Amino acid sequence: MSVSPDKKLTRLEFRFRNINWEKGTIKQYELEKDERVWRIFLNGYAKNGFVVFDEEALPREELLKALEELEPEIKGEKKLTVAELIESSYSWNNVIGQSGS
Amino acid sequence: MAEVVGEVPSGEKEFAESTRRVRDIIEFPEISEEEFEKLLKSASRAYGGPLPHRTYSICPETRRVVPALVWEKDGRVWITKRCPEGMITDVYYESVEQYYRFQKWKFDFKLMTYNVENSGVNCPLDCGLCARHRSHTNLLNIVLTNRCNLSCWYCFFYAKEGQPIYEPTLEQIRMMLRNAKKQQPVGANAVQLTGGEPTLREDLLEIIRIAKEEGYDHVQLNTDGIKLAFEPDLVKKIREAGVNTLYMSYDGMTPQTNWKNHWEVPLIFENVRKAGGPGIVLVPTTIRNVNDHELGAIINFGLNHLDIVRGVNFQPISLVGRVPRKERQRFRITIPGAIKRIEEQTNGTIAMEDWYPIPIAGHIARFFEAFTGSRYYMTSHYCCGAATYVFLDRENKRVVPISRFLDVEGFVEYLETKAEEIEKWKSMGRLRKLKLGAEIFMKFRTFYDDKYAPKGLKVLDLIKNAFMYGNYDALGQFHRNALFLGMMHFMDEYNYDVERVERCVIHYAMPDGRVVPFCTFNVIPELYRDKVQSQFSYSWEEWKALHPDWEYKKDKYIRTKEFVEKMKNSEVYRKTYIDIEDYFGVKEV
Repeated sequence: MSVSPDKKLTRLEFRFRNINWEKGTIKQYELEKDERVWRIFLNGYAKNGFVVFDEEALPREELLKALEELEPEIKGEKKLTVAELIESSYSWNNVIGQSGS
Repeated sequence: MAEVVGEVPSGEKEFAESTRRVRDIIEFPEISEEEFEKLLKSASRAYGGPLPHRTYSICPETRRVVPALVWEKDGRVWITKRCPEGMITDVYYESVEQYYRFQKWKFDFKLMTYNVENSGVNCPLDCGLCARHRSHTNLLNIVLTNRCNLSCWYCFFYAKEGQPIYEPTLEQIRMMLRNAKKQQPVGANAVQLTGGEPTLREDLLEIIRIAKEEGYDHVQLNTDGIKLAFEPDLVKKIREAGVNTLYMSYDGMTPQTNWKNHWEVPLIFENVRKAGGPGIVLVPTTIRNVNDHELGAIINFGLNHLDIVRGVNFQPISLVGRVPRKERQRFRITIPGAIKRIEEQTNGTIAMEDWYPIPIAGHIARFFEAFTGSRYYMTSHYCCGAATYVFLDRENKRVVPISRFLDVEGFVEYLETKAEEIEKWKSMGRLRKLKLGAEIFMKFRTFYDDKYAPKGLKVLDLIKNAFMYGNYDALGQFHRNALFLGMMHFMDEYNYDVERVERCVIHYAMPDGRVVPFCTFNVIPELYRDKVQSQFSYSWEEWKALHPDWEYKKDKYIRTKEFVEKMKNSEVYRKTYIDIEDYFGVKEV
């Protein structure tokens, strides 16, 4: 594969002050199309969400600008690699009702 | 028309020729915004509720998730949605009667693992699988390559010269297999290796072995079969490595309707016969006004090659992309529409009532889980698929659908009552199980009518062995005389129903750890298929550097005039297409 498993990604956790389901889905689709965004979930009901993105390719300012209308507030931040993102997705790490999932 | 030869088959000219004459058009009904809003307010909301029914769909232009109405008019089921650019209606299902008959067999399943944190509230933008998905992976698709030996005119997927090449590594493939296998409470047990054209991968045999190592009992190869026509050794090797089924494109009976492999099929069949397998499932993509007049003939063709053909799985066309209303009216066909054509073209031998919805298998699975502990739940939406078995009575040269000698629905209802009974038991000892097996066998006889059963098929022995002794050896005999008939209607932007995709059982593994339903992977490629494969692709330059001896042109198949002429005059061609029985012709009494 062309992408390195060691490639660094950034995960930002958000709280949104101006979001509903419709705005959330529209914005999620818009950002999700971008290859520099690896994972995204904007929850218009819970008014929170996260974006996992390649910060080397997508500057944080550009991402925040795109989210601006939802009035985001960063609640958390984490660095992870592509390999870690993949590992965290596997079924054995995500069993409903088991701790750690 | 004259055969298109001397170039890589693309189907463009054949399609243009096929569509010159329009036989019939579906007239979509009109519905005003006021009527739409009124119906939407009163519509049922719970899964499986009566029509009109409210669901969600996507807008073909903006991709917004929009409320949609599934409703009936003039005996058909329609789907209408109000998108930002206006109201869009399409046919959802061409028979209200069959819709309700199939709806009765809905079955929901609770998946206990997930692959993305998204809760599913933004479905279908949240795929991965999320915790809200309602079926486990029944068939896992793994795209082995986007290289292809054909150049189908409508395909946006295969790599053109100079474009990135997607080809996951063996380690990635292993992890994709393992990921779906480890789903709880039931892991995937069937994998389809697909492409592009998967036989272009030189390490295909190793991939098949990996699938077996990872515990997959069923390995099928989704192929155009062309390499298998010219490399008999490859057929033998893939069978030995563990491929059970060739899931092979087969769109019609003529070089025009089946431009992909009409001329090569006789050689493929011969090579499979010589190798003793794998079994073949013919896969006709079914298109109104293009090949919907040949469905009965395709089944007849399958019956004539029952020694190697295990089934025919019709796929009503998925009109992915932006498709004008007029074209949708011209090409759209749904499961009941295709089944109706089959009824007409088989002179009533295989009728509408002979088909069953896929989730009926969920009800059967419930019994088998209780009775034997084995679990595999096929719990797709009732409009996603249909299936039946037809048997060939060789003695009387007649074709008998299973429903003519077995009350399938009655028997399944009975099994459900038994499942409920067993579920209440604390344990089931050997003696109790044997007693129950005998009871089921005795009861089975009341659902079975020997008078109409195909001669030579010992159905009662099969059932007796299965329920009383757990012995399925007689299944071999069953397969040699039976042809599986299936329908699988994949969605597109115009008939998209989120309730269907939430229950999808046919998934794609992605190298980023996600598992995605077929109809999000292919209908929203900019979020799934194309995006992720682009992230994990080799650039053209990288690929060339890694494979210095590789040439794009060598991947491509050119059908020569000499080959076509040779086939036309060959014994194998005659044996395959011409000297065959007509099992559905009107017989003189």
